[in-house]
Amino acid sequence: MSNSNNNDIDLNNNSNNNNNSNNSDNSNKVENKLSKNELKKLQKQQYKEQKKAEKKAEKKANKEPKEQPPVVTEQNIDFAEPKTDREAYHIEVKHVREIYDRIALHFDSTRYKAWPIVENFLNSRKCGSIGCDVGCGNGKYLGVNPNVHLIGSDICNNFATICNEKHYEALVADGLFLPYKSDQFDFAISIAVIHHFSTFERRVEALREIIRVLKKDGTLLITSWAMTQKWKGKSYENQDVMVPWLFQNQFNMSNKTDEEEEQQQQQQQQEQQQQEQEEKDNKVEKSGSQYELYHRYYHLFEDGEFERMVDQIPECILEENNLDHDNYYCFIKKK
Amino acid sequence: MKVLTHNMMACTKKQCMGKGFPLAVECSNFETLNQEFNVEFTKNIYPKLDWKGIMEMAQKFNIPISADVTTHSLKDEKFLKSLHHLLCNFKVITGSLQCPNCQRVYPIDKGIPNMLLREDEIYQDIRE
Repeated sequence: MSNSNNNDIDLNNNSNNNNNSNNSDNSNKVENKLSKNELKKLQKQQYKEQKKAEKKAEKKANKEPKEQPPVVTEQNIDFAEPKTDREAYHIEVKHVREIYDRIALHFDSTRYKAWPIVENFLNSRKCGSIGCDVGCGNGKYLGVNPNVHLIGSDICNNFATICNEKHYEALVADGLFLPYKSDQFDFAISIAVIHHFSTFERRVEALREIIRVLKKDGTLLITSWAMTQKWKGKSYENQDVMVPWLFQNQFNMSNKTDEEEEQQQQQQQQEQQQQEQEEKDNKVEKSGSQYELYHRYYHLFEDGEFERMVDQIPECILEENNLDHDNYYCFIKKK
Repeated sequence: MKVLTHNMMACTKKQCMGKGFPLAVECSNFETLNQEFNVEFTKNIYPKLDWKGIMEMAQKFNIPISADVTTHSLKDEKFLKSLHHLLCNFKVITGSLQCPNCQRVYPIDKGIPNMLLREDEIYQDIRE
């Protein structure tokens, strides 16, 4: 189904919540004290098995969700509109990057169906084409066509790690500063990413940066959430919204430790503990399972918005802009 | 980071545009993979490659590929096999990348290059 990348809450509700009985004790603090290699290896293994089981269970759960998590809704943004680029940068670090880094594993467990439009685009690339996936997330498009070389990049370290574990090429990079030479990629995709930039200027810059690395006649497939949500049957009042993610604690990334990571982990955990302190208010408990509520910043696109962006960039041309399942998808060609 | 990925990469700083490649690779740990040889893939990739970067990596991983481009033939299967092997089957796990222009060093850890600029680096760039 093609709604997999735009229907966070529904998928979230459908996903299985009953499987966390054996790791509810594995809180950060306990793990920190018992930092022995064997224990960690065991945990890692357990975790992998658990993740497999969850994916299976999730499919079943679509039919009969046994435990409904608390109902959560979109919120209006609770910060002032950024006045400078640097303020916008800070907003995105706090309300996009750090949130995805936190929820990455959980996100990964809900994102495995490819969107047919993207799948078809990738499969129609010539053998030996080279492409980049800007904001690749959990890498669900990186392995679609094995006859192309597709490099994923994401600003979230945890997403790059997840992709690497799936044996995909992934690196950590800012969409505004792509680590690639100019004029060389045959194609690029950027799926549900550009709506996370918080000013028009930054969205244009992000688009300009992808166009820079494309070669002449190279095509970009770029998508964003739409303000009109006819398919989902709801509507938004504002273009800038905070979209909830109900995080299940069983997907805590710190369960994934190994020896090399130990030091880094400890540092991260210290930061995390601080963060958790701040986020205690957000915690929601229900029927023995524990959730944490997070919100990600989105700028929902309206009709004509991609056109206005492309108008700012003389090097490219908008070949197609359509709506599918409440997402705009555009094919943009470099001149 | 596979060799083919490295060949596409450059320094992220705007001041290094057009000058920030090939990134100098320091490799303390790598993995060899078993990706199957694909003639068409290799032939189509060939014209897109930056040869300076390829030669540096061929030397590093001891792959016999001639630096003299005029001797290369896309009909020579041995050459294509060596090239494919180099591009797809060597993965740098731990090390670093250094920009030949500004000397900025980017770490590679667990196979993942971290190309993020620090905040102060980003806002220096924009002020300039």
